[in-house]
Amino acid sequence: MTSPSAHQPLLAGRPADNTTVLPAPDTLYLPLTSRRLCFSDTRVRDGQAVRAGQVLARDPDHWGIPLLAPRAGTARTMALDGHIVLEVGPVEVSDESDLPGVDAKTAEAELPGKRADLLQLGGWQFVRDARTDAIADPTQTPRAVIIVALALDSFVAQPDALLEGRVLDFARGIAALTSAVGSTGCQYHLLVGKGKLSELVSGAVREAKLHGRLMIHHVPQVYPHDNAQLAMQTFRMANSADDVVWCIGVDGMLAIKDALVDGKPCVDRTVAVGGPAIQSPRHVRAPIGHPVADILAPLTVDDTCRVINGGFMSGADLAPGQRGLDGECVGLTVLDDPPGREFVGFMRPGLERQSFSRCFLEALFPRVPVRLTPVVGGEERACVACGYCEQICPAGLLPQVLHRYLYNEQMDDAHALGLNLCVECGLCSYVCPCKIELREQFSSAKHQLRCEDDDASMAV
Amino acid sequence: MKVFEKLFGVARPFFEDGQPLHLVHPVYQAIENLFFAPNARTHTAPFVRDALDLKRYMTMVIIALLPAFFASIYFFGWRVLLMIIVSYAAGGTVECLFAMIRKDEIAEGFLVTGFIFPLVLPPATPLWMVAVGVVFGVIVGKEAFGGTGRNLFNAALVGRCFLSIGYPATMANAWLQPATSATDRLLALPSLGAADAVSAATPLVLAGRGEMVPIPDLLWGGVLGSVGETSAIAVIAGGVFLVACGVANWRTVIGTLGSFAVLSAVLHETFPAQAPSPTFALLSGGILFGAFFMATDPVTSPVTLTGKWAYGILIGTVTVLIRVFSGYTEGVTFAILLGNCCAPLIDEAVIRGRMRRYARAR
Repeated sequence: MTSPSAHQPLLAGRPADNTTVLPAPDTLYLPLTSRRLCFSDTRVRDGQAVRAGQVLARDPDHWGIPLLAPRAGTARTMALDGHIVLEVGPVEVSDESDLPGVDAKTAEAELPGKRADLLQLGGWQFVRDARTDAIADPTQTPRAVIIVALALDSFVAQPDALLEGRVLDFARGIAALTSAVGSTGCQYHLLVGKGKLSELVSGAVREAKLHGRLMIHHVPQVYPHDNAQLAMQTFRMANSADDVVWCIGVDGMLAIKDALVDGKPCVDRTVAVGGPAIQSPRHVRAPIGHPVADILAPLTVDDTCRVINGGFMSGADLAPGQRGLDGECVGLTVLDDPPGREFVGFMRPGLERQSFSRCFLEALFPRVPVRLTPVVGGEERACVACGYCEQICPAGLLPQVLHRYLYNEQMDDAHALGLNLCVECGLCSYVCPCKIELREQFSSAKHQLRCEDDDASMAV
Repeated sequence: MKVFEKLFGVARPFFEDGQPLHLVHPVYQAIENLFFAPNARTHTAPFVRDALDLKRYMTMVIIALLPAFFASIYFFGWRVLLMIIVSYAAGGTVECLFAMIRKDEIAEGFLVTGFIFPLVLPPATPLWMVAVGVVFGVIVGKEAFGGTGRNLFNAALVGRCFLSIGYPATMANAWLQPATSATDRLLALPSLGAADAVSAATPLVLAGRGEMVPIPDLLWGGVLGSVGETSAIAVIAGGVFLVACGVANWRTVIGTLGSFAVLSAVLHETFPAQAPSPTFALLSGGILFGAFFMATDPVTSPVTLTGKWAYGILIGTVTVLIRVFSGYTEGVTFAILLGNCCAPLIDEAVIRGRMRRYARAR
């Protein structure tokens, strides 16, 4: 398949490969909500002493995935809205039992042993459904599992850093995963880029002896080719729309190894801290709940900046009240947000900027890093059908036509035109000169379609 | 810059909701945004956006038109500048009125329409006709459909078509004898009337009579024709620039010029008396200007990239057919307007094909 999205701007502020282990803080702020999870079922009393790895809360909507205490200490459930605050320190744990009452109606009992173990140790949240990027349903049997060994959104944790000295663990993780999946008919796909790391990873995966059930795919190292849904479409990994396909990243593989081989709870995260507003971009390793301010304060250049949870193409704003690192965080991107408005910006020759359309004379000058700011830089206008979105769409869709259909509320036409194949990479929104929020529009339309499908299947 | 900031700070309250000047708020907003980029920040992924906006996009078209514009000033004098000023003033007023009625912002599309419209007219067109044409083009060609981004027809060509049907005699006799030296027109005052207008024949008319204008003349300019099309070199320079920076889609340009050249060559072999050689045909008349600047108008061409090929081929083919087999010596305007008509149809075909492919894969 050709790669239409070959636009690869230079970026400043990529995190270095080495990882800094942060000193343990006195207090951890464990957020009760993250991108996919909501730990609404609190399992400890205010002021209760907990040991490391004890369940603090569960997500009742996701098979009771637990929020685990990263360290021993005293849990405060009322101290900060939306968080469980953990005062770290040696404590006498007397009361082992969880809170009575809302008992976990988790799927544990029905789950195969290994999957239940993985779920209890906080490792299941790394197993995702390749189509929806939601957390995979542990009761299903996958037809294929995609192991994604590259991270191409800028400023997210890089496999190089995660795998530093842990390639063997990665291989063990795969072995553990195969036993957790259990099914013999499952095909494994490894997505790797090029270079030394990809050879190391490929070698490690071969160690796992998957005997003909493993396929290695080398993909271009251009965003968004690390996207599992895109890979699934490109390499035709599913035969029908009902086939279950899971995907797991490098962090997930290592978490599975920790949980299933060593029996350790997954309570530490390695995240990238990068972006133009960071003095020395790096990877840091810290327990879940580590105060975000403590991570950023020593690195940030000034305080007029915007913090994004994840990479700038696919992340989300750091929730306004969120104090601590959440369990799904892969990176913190910090962008300069200069106050004020640009003076006659559209008339400038553009020696210092890059654009997909080459309108800023970029072809004539040496490549310069793109100025990464959250400025939209133009008014939202009706689509002029310039065709940039079609040129850049990695899934080969017609975003401008989909936009027109959705604008006219022609849901069926949008569906027929492959709306479900949209991988929500955001490149169309990025290039749009009319500043139309295409990704957001497609994302919500896909969500609506999925809800309608669910309703329909319920009715049947 | 600080001065401007202060000035806008003082002026802004007068145009806000409930103030007497609120009616002209779109005009104020357009002027403010011309100086200062809007203050909006991204609120959803992707959090960084490409530096290109629609103002820049349209500005690139104007930059690409500059060589043709300068060539026309050289050959036809300062009158061209007057025509452009009149076009901007008259069309801009209509654009502003519509924005006020709609209570919407003024879109950037008019930046190009106002500049390109005089360039497709004969150089001695009376100024009042320029005004009438652009007003008709903007209202009927664009605003009636909902403004930039929603128009079916190229507004400038609708205006031109209206003038050539409404005032055929004036339009046919509005040519100017091009300058032969720099002092000819550059030092002369622009004539407001059409005193020196001539009814001489354009190269295409001459070719119909078997008199061929030499190719170097066509390349350099100095032949009778519409304001912008006279110098082929200037048009090609601007057009290549526009294609290189990605604003004009290369598929449309190659489709149009390619099909035009191929069909011209075929017809030249079959009917040497009626059809001039492809080189001559390409360099004379408005085909180059049309292919680079009018056919590539993104709004009125098909939205799909595959569709742009078909659209270009349609325009190139129809232009040759009109030129060779009809009573008109020039067919670019009609061919592009016909292409505009067919654009939704072409898109529909592409989209249907795509839907079938997805349905099979499902």
